[in-house]
Amino acid sequence: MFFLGVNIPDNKIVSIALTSIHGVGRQTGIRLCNQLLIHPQCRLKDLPEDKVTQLSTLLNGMTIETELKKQVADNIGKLVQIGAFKGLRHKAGLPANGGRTSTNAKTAKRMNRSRLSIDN
Amino acid sequence: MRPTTVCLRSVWKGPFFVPLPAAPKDGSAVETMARASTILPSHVGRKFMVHNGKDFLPVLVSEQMVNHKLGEFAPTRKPFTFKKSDKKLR
Repeated sequence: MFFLGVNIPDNKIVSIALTSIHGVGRQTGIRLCNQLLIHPQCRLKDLPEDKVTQLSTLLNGMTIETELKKQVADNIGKLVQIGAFKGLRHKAGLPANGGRTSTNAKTAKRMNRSRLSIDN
Repeated sequence: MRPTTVCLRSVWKGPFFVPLPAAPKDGSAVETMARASTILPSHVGRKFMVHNGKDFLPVLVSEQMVNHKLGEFAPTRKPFTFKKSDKKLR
């Protein structure tokens, strides 16, 4: 089922299907379902239409998907712009939280530079 | 996703800062070794020379820098550069 993003996992339980949206995790999914009184074992394809519209309105009010990615990219861009140490580490693609660089820095080398832009 | 929480000091205590000397009239830089002091709104527009262990690095405070510490803008290590050595292998 197409939600605001490109969420199409129909056969899954609602709270778990919602986690495929960027910005919604396990806890937020469960909280949303409890708020709308959706049965914890209800599958996404069995949801009535009014519940689907209520879900959409709730999700529209949160920062998710591209808005969230932009927020993160802006925060990191601000650090780079003011010249802080963390900004320099993001630009160099190295660990920004004090990790060692002599060995192990695989995740940072792969991801830290791309966090500056929205498309990662 | 939670935003990155840099400050670890409890809010009710107020920010940690060091009483810095008054800004000189001609706008020249003030040398300081207080890297841990928070940048306050009254510091915006001033120039500081922050110690990094060896030299003093210039920092011009802008409005976006307000809740950071002075030491964040004076890196303490030289950036790593890979140098290929020209020794011939036997």
